[in-house]
Amino acid sequence: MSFPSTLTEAMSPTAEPKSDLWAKLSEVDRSMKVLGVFFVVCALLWLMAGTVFALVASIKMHNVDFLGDSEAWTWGRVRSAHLNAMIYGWAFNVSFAVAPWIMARLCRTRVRFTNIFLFGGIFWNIGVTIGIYGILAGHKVGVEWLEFPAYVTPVLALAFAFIGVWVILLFRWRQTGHVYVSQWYFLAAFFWLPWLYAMAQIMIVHEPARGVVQALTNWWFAHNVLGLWLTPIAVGAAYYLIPKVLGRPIYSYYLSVIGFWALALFYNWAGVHHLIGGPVPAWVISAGTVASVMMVIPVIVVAINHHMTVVGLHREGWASPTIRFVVFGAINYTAVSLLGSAMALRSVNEITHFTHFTVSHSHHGVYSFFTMIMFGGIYYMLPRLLNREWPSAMLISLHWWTTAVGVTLMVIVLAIGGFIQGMQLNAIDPETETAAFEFLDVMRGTIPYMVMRSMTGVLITIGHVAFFINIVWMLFRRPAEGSDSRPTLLTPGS
Amino acid sequence: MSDKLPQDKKQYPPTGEPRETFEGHGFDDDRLQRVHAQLMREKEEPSESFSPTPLFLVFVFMILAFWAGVYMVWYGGEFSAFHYDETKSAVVAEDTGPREIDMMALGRRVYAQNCQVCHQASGDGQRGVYPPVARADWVQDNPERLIKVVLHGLEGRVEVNGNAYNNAMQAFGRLNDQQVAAVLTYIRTDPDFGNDSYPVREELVAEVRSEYDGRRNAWTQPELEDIHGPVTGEWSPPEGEEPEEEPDPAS
Amino acid sequence: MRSLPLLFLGVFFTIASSWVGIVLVSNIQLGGLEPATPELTDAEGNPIAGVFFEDPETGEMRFGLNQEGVEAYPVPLVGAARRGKLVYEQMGCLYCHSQQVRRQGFGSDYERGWGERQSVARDYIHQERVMLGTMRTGPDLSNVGLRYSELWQHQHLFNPKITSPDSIMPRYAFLYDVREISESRGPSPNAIEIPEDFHPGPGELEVIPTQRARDLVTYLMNLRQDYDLPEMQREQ
Repeated sequence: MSFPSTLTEAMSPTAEPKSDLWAKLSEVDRSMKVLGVFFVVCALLWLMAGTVFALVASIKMHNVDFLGDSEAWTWGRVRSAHLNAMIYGWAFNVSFAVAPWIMARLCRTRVRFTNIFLFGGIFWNIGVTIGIYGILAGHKVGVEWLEFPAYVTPVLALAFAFIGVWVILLFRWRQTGHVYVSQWYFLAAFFWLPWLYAMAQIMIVHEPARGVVQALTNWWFAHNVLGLWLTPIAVGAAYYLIPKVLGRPIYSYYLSVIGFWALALFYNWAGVHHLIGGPVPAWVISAGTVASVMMVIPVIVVAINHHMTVVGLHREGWASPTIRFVVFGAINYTAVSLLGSAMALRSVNEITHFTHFTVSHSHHGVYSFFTMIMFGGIYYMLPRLLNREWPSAMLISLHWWTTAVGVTLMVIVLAIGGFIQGMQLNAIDPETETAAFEFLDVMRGTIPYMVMRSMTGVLITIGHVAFFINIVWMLFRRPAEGSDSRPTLLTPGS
Repeated sequence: MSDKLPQDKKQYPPTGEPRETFEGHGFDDDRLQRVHAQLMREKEEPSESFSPTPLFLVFVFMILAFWAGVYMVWYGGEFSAFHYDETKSAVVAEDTGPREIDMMALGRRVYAQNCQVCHQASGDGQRGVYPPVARADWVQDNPERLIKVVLHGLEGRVEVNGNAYNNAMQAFGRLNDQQVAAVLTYIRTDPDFGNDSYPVREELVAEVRSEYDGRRNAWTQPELEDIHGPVTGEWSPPEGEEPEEEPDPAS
Repeated sequence: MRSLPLLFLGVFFTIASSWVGIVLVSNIQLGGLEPATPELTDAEGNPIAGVFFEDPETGEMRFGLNQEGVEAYPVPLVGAARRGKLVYEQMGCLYCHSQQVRRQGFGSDYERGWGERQSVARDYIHQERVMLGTMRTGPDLSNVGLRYSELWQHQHLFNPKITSPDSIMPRYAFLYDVREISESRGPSPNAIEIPEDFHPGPGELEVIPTQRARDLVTYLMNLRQDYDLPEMQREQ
């Protein structure tokens, strides 16, 4: 057992006697057990469902006859089912599992009224299930990221209200004076999302605004689900998990502060870059472009802060499943955000807009960054909630390699295919002043990339199955006495 | 550190012995230790050090902020609701009067935008579905027949170059006289289409349009044959109809 | 960070700023747009929205559509076209087809013949659901009503490969009834012509569009931005 250096302990406002801390954390973990397991299982099921939708949609892109005569499985619906299952099913559920648990730990408080949270969670998942059914049945709303039929939105809003109130209450009961950076991110996220969702629902679905104001609201919402919900949850989790697993304080409190406020200030303006070239006045688009580029600030700051915390501990990090996934996610956060800033420039966007490059970018963000950090979070959280260890290091390793390699290849394949597609779509024959490539020929050129994307999708699916098996195995096995006294690490002997 | 102990895989799979729960009674210190082993080997909760912000970052931020201001002024479109092109100032465009128009270039554009999806870029059409316009007897024939087809559409059984087609072509009456003349000139004279014919005048389009003003139905082949006779692909214009050739400098 | 009120205020004001800036200000600027004609501009060339008329019932001055003698654009969709838009929405067409033309010089929208001018906010004021789209796996549809015939659309929906070889668009054959040609009544006048290679049963079966297919095609035929708006008089 290594005790922290006295200096760090003295400097850190969270310092408290160790035995006291362990007793509190033990209580926190025990009180979060039911909630954590419930949301992890829900998230896992949605992850698998979303993967199936993803595969079907991907195969249909190069093989139209696959399920070609089914109305419910027509591409336009499967694609929406995939997006909504992954975002509202997987991403929200896993956030509900990981963020409140970290929050409770940082607040050092045994959670109370878990039934409120559980109630909200059950209704949330009922809402998502009805919503996905509604999409496949053709009741969908034709607005990206808001496809759920209008009749499930009250259910979702109510469910989130329960969950949000509970998280605020949890924070109110904290027994610490200092508020750690992860807590800022989580609090802000649980405050921002209901605002976003309510405004988007009112102004687009229930009392539609006039004309393109809808489109502006749509992208203000959709991009902020990423920027003000998924990003703070994942960055907050990384801020907890990296120093926790490596046993090293976060590099700089000042950088944490700058990173948080710069994100809060700039990210919520960035969404308009989805409408570059579109029928909205130049100034709104310029504002979106500027905000997207200013996102460089929080991204660089967070990157430095995380990097300086990890630096020198790479061997320990590589052995830990949690750190492998989280650091992969953190690196990709930097990459995807810088790429996103570049894509928001009009001259770049002219090429990448309307192409598979954008698809590549969204998977880069939601998967390589958010999902990978959440995988890391589950790998750390679940053993502590269940008081057992992961049954198979081999399955973790399989999960890691297939998803990390799979999603990286997918992002690269789609980016290359999308870039070529964009260049060809825009090319103008100077002599004739007509398009240099016929539209159908450009489309034909993307097919090989679509086939490769399906292959990478299969790779990722293998990883998800390994993850699924590992969790189910862990939930149902009864480990032998003493067998769980050691953590499941990925590099034996390190 | 316990984190670094090698993992002993031989202990899996489990032997099936039931696990003591925390709530269970009779925990001795040893067992308590074991239940909490996971926690005990955890490192302390995260904390923060207070390393200063690197100075170069401050410079980067200042440059970015400066750029942002310049960008908004430059490309802000004067914050007008009616201004869409950020590269231009929001003044009303001046009327610069009519421009010289290259009929071939215009025709190529009209073709690409309206005709190409069916008749293809090569002009070869699609076997059994869309008739060709390249090396086609119809195109080399009387231009008035073509103008009628473009203005009002064509439907029913059609024979082009001896092959039968049965489809419907929509009316393109929305194109103005100049555009119709340009596209027909283009397909009749561009060497890529191999129709060695002569250009179509704008006035001729205007004449046909006014003659059949109000016609809603598409033409059929028999109807056109009643007016212009069968398609032969050999058509010489009446006297004075063919525009004069450019004077040959050699003569 | 210890000052929680400050944290909450900051969190509140950051999101409020973008909501006001992007959503509210746009709503003030664009939410009141009315149909207009290019001729109506004020002294500085700014478009005057809509056409004023006195409401005969209340006596108030109101904006109006297409009164006698003045044609203001855009015009709203009605009837079958409006129903067709729902089909468009339910089939998820917007995930592959955009409905926005970028200006000449930005991309190749103009050169591809997708539109003669840039789409502007006023083009969308009547749309209950604005489906600008973010993907062009298929071509832009802002002006698709000008480009193809109804028959082309029906053939394309029944099996996209009829009109566009190698197309990866899904076929919407489930929007069509394929049935035997009636012996007594002969072929239905509503049947659409399908080339033999793609026909489910030439001479024996006929392909009849369902109500949904007819509505969808009516909607597509009504997609057009071929009118002039005051915005176009500016240099853009």
